[in-house]
Amino acid sequence: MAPKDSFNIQAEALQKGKVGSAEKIFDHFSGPIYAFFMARIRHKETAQDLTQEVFLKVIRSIGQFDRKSGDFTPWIWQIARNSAIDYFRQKKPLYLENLPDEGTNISEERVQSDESAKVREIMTIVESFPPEEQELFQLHFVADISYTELARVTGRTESALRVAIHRLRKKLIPYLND
Amino acid sequence: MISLIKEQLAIRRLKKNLHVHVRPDRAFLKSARTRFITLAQQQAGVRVGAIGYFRSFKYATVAIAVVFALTSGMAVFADANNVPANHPLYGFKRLSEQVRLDLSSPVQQVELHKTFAQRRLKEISELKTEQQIEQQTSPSPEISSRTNKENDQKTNRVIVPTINPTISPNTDAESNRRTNEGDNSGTSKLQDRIDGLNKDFQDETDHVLDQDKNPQIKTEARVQFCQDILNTIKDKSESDRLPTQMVDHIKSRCGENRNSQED
Repeated sequence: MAPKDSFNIQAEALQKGKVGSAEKIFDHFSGPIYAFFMARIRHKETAQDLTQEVFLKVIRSIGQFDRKSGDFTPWIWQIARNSAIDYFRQKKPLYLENLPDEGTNISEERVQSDESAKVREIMTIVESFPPEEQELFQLHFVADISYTELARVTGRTESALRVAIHRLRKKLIPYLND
Repeated sequence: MISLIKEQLAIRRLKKNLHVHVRPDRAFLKSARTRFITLAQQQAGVRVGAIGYFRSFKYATVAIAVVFALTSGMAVFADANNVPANHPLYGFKRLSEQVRLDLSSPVQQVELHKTFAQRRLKEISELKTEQQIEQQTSPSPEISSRTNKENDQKTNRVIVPTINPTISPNTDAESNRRTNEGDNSGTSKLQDRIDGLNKDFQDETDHVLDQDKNPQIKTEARVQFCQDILNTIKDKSESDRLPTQMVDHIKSRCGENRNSQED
């Protein structure tokens, strides 16, 4: 059984208007959520807009949050995932091969480096994986979400996730050793 | 084993590179954080205010519903049972009558005014009966003054040698006098009530008979109302008779209506 989500208390405090809890929630989730959008959309400004939108939605609907219906962590991540889905519904995805380098919004300096090239290559490869694996890659490898949190977000058990991520690693390794 | 370590290192390097490329700008984080916190503060203020408003609105609605249910329940009960004028729910009965009048058509209003005028007459006769009983049970002024005098003498004789000088020898006599005064005030209160009901009866009849007050009522209906009311007054016993002045007033109104019908 997954341990209790410590952010439930913060969310309830946010419902009561406590600024401290708003700071804690933002500090914990802003980085991973931005990374998740960057991994999916690969456009800096769009990722920033979507990240802001997620936190705006959090504020708007925090009154509806009820820990009896579910924990806060999957709740906020569901908002992020829905925002990404909505974005792709409204706009065609930005495929790397169809865009110039600037389109990815990764700085010139970074683009020119080998690491950046490798990252871009890996991201492109991951796009050919099944959607579940793509999401695992975005959440675990890019957004750096722990297994416990990932279990809450995806609704799968930790052991199932470990197996799935191990398989994903095995798929990625051939491309990393070049 | 070495290949496993190599894989681990490759994955670690990939993660590190990914994090470098997906790390948000400090300036963006700072502005987004400030915006989020400001919104949280604003939203909390609105929510607290809204919750407070909603709660107070909820309680007020419940309170109004309860008061309305109780009032209407008591009014309906008092009206249906035609409670007497000295009943605690009499006020609710009058309220219910007023509501019924407000909700009815001019034709129905004539019938209602007739019913209510007859009710007033019944209430007046009930109060008069009560007044008579009180007058019979309470001693007459001569008897009561005589009794007081006797009491005074008796108490003077008996209580004068009392040990406690603070107690007045006239205490019993005074209390008797006070009781009699109370009785008289009770009778005068009843008389005030009867006078009030007489006036209410006149108002009920005036509402129908006065053309200026209720021009929508037809003259035929007024004449019919007059006949019914005058018959009711005529049937009253000597003791229940209305003040002559009032009867004359109704008769003159009826005459006016009859004349206008003939015209």
